[in-house]
Amino acid sequence: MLEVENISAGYGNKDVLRDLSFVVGKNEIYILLGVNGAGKTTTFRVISGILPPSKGKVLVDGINLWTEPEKAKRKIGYLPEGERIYPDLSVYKNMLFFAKVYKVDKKRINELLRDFGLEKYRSAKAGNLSRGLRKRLALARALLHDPEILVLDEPFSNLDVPGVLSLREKIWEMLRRGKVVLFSTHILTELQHFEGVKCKVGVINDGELVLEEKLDSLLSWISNIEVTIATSEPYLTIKLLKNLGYEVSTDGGSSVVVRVSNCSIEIPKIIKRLVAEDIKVYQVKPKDMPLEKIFMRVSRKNDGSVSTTAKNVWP
Amino acid sequence: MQWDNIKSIVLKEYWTYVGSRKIISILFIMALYAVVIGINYIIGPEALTSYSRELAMKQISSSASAFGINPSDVEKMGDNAILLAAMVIQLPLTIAVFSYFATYNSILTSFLRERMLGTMEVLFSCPLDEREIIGGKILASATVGMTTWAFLFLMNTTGIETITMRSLGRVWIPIPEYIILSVLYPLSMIFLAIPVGLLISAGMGKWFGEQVGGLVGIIPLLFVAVLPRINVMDFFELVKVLVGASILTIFVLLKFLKIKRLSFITN
Repeated sequence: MLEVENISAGYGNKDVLRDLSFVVGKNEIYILLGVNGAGKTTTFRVISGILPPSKGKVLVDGINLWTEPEKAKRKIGYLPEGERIYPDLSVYKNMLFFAKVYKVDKKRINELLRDFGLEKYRSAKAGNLSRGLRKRLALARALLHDPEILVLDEPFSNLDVPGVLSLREKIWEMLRRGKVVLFSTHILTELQHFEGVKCKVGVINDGELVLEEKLDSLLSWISNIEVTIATSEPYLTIKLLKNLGYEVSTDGGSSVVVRVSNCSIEIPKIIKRLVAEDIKVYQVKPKDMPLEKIFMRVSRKNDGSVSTTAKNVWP
Repeated sequence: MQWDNIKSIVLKEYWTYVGSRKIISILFIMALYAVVIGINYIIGPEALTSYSRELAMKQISSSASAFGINPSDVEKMGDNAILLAAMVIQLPLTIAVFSYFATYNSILTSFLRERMLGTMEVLFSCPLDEREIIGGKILASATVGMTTWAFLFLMNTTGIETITMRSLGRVWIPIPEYIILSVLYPLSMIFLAIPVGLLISAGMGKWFGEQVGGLVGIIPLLFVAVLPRINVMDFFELVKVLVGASILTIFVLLKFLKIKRLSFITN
C-alpha cells in the first residue's frame, strides 16, 4: 500500500508540487495524467525516494520512505522517463549490477531477459540497442527485485507493440499478485485496457491533484458519446435510427452521427440492426475523443476562466 | 554502510572503464604520452651540446650519491649517467602528474557520466546509501590511479635497473629520495585527487563542475614548480602533510559530503 500525504516538493525555492495526497491500495493501479510540466515526474521522483519533499510524507506499506529509505526502497521498482541505462555496459551487466544491489539471484535476470525478449541481446552493449529495446531493458530492471510497488513514468512511450503487450501483461500479473502499480501516460486510450480492474485515475495540473476518480466511473461517464457511422444508405440509416429513438444528425455525406448513452452495449445492437436491413456499414468511430476533451478541460491553467474541480467538468 | 553495496558500485565502475572506449582511449593516450616522454629522455643526452653534457656530468659527479651511484660510476656510465639522473629525479614527477590526472579524471568522469545519462536518479531510487555510492566511486578511481602509478613506476624502475646493469654490471639500490619522489609523492597526488575530484563533481553544482573541473587539474603542476626550490627531504615533509591532510579530507567527505542531488536530477 502506498500513502502519499500532503507532499510538497520542488527543485529550488519554489515548490512544483503542492499538498499532493493520494492512496493506492493492494491490487490497484493508479494512473497519473497531466500535461507537460504538470508535476507527474516530480511526483514519481518523490515517491521513489529520489527527490526529498519539502513537506509531507510517503508511506510504503507503513514504512516512511524518507526516514527509513533503504527498507522502503526495496519495495519500490522505478522506471524513469527515458531509459537511464548504462550504455557502456552489456544488457546482462546492466541487470547484474542492480541484481547485486538488490541481492537478487542471477536466475531472475535470465527470466526477465526472456520475458522481455532481450535474451539474444544479453552480450550486446546497451547503448547499441534500439530505443524500444532500451526501454524494455529499463523495465526489466525495474521489475528485477519483484517490487511491491511499481512506479512507471511514461512506460508506454517508445515501446513497440510486443513491448506494450508484454508490459501490459506484466502489470496485470503484478495486480494478480496483490501488488501496486502507478504509471503516468499521455496515451489516453491506454486507460481503456485497464477497465474492470481496481484502478484510479488522477489528473495533476500545476502541481495539484485536480481530479481523482475510479477508472470505471470515468469510462461509464464517457460512454455517453456521439458516434459517427458511415454506411451505404445514409438516409435509410437516419430513418431507422430515428425510429429506434436515437438523436441523429448527418454531416451531409455518407456519415451519420448518433448519440448513444452506453456505447459498448448500444453500438453492436445498432450495427446488427443495420446489417439486418441490408445496409452496408463501412466505419464506426467516436466523433471526438471524450477522454481527451475531459482531460484538457481539467488540465487547463487555473486562470479563473475554466473550473478545475471535477464536479462541474463532467458532461 | 554495507561493504557489499560498495563492492557493487566498484564493480560497475570497472565494467564501465572496460566498456567505455572513451575511458580506455584516455588511459591509452596517457600511457602513450608517458612512453613518449620516456623515449624523449632516453634520446635526450644525445641531443645535448658538448658544453651542456660536460656541465651535467660535472653536476652528477659532485652529487653522485643523490642518484644512488658512486662518483667513480659516473665516468663508467658516460651519457647513461645523465639518463639515470633524469630517471631518478625528473621522471618520478611525471609519474605523480599522471597518477593525479588518472585518479582525478576517473572520479570526475564517473559523476559527470552519471549526470549526463541521468543514471544517478536510478541509483538514488535503489536501497543504496549516498556514502556507499561515494565510497564505491572513490575506491574505483583510486584503483585507476594506483594502476597508472604502478605501470609508470615499474616502467621507470625497470629502465633504471637496465641502465645500471648494462653500464655497471650491478643492481641499482633505490635511494630514499627516489622512493619519496616515485612512490610517496605520486601516492600523495592520488590521495589529493580524490577529495578534489569528489568535491568538484559530486559536491558542487553542474555549472561549477563543468567550468572549474578542468582548471583544478593544474594542482600537481604547482607542486612540480615548488620542488626545485626546496630540499628533497623538506619536500618529503610536505608530501607527508599532504598525504595526512588528503586522507583526513577523504574520511571527512565520506562522512559528511552530501551529493548535490538536484544537479543529478535531469529532465
